[in-house]
Amino acid sequence: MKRLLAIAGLLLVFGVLPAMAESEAEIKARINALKPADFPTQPIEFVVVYPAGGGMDVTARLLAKYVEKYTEQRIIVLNKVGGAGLVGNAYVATQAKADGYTVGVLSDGSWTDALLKAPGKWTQKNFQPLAYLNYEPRTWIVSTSGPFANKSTREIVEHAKQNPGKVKVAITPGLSGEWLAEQIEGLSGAKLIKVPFQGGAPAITALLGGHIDVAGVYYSEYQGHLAAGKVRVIGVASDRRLASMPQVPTLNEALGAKDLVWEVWRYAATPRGAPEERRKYLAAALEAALRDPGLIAEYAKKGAITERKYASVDEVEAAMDLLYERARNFFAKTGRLK
Amino acid sequence: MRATEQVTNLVWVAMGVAIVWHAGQVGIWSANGPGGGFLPLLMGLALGCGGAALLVREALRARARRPRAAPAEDAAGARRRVAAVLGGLVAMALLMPLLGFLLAAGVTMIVLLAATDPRRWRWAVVLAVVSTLTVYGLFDTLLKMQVPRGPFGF
Amino acid sequence: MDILSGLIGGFGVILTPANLYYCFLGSLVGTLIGVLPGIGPLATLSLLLPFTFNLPAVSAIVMLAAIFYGAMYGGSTTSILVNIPGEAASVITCLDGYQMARQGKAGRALGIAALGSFFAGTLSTAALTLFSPVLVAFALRFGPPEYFALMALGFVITLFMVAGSTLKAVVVLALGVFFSTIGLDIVTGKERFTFGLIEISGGFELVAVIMGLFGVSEILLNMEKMAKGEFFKKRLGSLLPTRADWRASGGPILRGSLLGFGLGVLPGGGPTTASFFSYAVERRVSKEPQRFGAGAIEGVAGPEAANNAAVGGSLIPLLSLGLPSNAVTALLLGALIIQGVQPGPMLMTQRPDIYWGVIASLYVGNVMLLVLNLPLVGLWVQLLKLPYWILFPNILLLAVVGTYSAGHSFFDVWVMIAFGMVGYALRKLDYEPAPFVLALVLGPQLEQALRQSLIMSEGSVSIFFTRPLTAVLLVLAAALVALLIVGVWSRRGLSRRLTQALKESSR
Repeated sequence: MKRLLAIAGLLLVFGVLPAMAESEAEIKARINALKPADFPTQPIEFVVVYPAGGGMDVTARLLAKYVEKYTEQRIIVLNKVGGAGLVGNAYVATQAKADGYTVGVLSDGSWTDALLKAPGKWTQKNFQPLAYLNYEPRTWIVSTSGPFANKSTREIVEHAKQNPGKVKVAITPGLSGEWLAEQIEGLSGAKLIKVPFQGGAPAITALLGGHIDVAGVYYSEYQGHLAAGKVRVIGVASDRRLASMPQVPTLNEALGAKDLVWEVWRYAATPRGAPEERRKYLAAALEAALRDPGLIAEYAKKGAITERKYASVDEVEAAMDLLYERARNFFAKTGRLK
Repeated sequence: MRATEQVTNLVWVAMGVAIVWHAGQVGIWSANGPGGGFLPLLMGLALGCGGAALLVREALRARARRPRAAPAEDAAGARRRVAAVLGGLVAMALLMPLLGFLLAAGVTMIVLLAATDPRRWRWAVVLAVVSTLTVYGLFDTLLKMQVPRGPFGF
Repeated sequence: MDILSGLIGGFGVILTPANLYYCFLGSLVGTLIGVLPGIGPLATLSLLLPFTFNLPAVSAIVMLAAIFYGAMYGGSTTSILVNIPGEAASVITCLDGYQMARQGKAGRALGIAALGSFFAGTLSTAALTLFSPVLVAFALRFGPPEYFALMALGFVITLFMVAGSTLKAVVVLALGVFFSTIGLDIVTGKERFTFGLIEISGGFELVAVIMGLFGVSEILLNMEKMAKGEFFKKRLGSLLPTRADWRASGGPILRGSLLGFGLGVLPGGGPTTASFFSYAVERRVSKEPQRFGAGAIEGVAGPEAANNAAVGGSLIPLLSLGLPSNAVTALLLGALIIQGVQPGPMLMTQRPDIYWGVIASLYVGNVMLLVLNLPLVGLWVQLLKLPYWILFPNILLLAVVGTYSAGHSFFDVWVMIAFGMVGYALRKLDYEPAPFVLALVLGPQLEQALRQSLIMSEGSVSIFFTRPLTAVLLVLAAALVALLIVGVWSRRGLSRRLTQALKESSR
């Protein structure tokens, strides 16, 4: 019996896998064939516009690890931090050389930043995408030892409507958490107390300490507390439920709305105008990395979802245009943009 | 020295006023609590009041007739060396983006050493080369902190 | 008993040749980058992170943590030797450490810094081992109003810290807090006071400010007197702390450890705040406060103990809650996540090897750092024998490269030069620049907590008086202010002088 299993295992390893996909060596050879003669002669820089250790940073570093595996080139992750991403986004959009050595590992924040804080300085068109990476929807969570431990989103919003100023929601100013809370206010007529925090971690601390009631944060920021039963997810700001928590309704379902969709949408790009052959090489390497089951598993473990696919760089670009328009309309409607 | 001190105090008062004014432009109170100008307003007030109090105190102290500090010997030399160091820093900041770290730092150091003490220019060259290479090795080679590169790739 | 068996298990994990090697490597790199001005643990950790991908999770995290606390050991070196803080947490060590060096006591200052760091590091690790769950519960009680009260208390304490005029300290603090508000409004995300400069939309780079205010300004001051010769006493006394030094430092080290650990546990606390608090406390409890700023060994021992203890403290929220309390622990969190480990309440049960391994490594690492740093003291002291015309260009070079590498920005180099000139002018006029650094670090946290609190209470200040912890802290701050005013008034005979002056002018 044992021997039979061993044989079956060997068959699986040597017989089935190669048939499913090309081997690592083949992929490497394919990428290497695209490598320009004069590139790269120095390390490639992945620019991250948020601090080391955060969601974007981990995304970029995992990506760098797998791109290094396929290209055998050295990649440096550079955190250009400041102004809640503004400094780094401005750097990739307007200052960095378009020579292929600078690759921004960016999010949709790269153009909302320009819309809100540096109007007219740049748009999504300044970033020429190489690949779409993943997305992660915002979620609303409550503390399991707080007053809303067993309440649904609808009940909490209803409570806020009856008692204006009694429900405190943690938001990150200038990011989707704030807009989501505003949309829900507009939708329901409830008045929420929107307490600003710099990122998810301090907001979750305050939630656990009972200082606030609801936090609009990402799964990767609280998965340890979820596993320990300290927090409960009450709604997902996406157009579909999360595969990892199918019992949790989307906020659209919970509140009978259509546009409560706020996701961080991550992509890699060069400044527009980088040499086409260098971009082809980088794009092929990124694609190989993103298809690697190891990277897919690591992204999934930290809560990012890779399921959405775009067949080509052009489709990614089209998606960016769409998201840009959607953000611009929202800002115009809420008076943030004249 | 006292005149400088009083001018500085006036600068504080002026800065305090400017900050208070600017804070008002940013917005001191908004619909949900204090605005972006609230804390700067408080700091502008503290700065202005602190400066004003220092002004008054210094004016009162004048009557106590403190002995004046003896003027430093070699005042001209002192000024020249201070200017040389500042000039060196500015030169390095200007040259680094153009020439890269190694060339900019090396050249600046030679000039700087020669300017602060012209007698030792030979040593200056040796020191400049050794120091620049050591710092480069430490930061760039050992710790992989990329220092600026010039047109020649180093 | 759980703790004991856990700890034994942890030592079992750590006392393997491979893990001991990574712990040592981390200590070594940490000491090096601590000594070098500019590059701090943050930049180093983010650079070394990729190299830890292929290590086992325990080795990776043990090495990265060792870099963090190793930097705290090394950070004091350049503060003492040449008045350039290796880290923000060592700014305060400049005040007395550098004076000691000029008096030929560099060895004693460096020695007490290393030994104080060792005791504090070990003590805080012991506290981390024993009280972690209790402390986590306490730290969670700190909401925005409590933080505001704590920050306010911190600023008041700083006023006790400076040797010279209190009014001048108020001016420096106010300036520092104002500078910290330059950039993006933390609540609305709008720019303020930037005059359209994108480079300062994120505020000023701390490293650049510190390098300028301390390092560059010190060189400029020394340039004036360069013709006169040397600034360091050539005859060097004892290389290690004397018995009298020990007697003077025992209390400060103990108090600094407790203070540092406590502040480290609180999110937003961390080594820098801890070192300032400790210095202020020591100056306050000292029988001869006038010695502070003129080479008091207590002023080195306390803060150095505090910043090391804070590292141990800050690992508690990281390991038990998965919540980083500062940028460096945020990076450690990232490192753990990349390794597939999720820190948080489940870590101790799911991955005891990591939880207890890291704790055990702290004990081991502190011993390693002591063994590593004590012999170095002799070497560092020899550096001061170099003539100043050789030392100063090298210090400048390090300052420029250190500043540049902090953010890969040429703009920061200009900021450094500007703050060098400001620091030079201020110090000539007897202003102490250290509170500026604290204000720059704490300013954003103060504003954040203040505005969060008032948003939570819909504009009512009652929120600061109805919460017991907040009220206690604020009353304490108010009492200190009262004490300060009374003290200044009576000690300097200000009222007498004022009436006299009025009489004279009316004559």
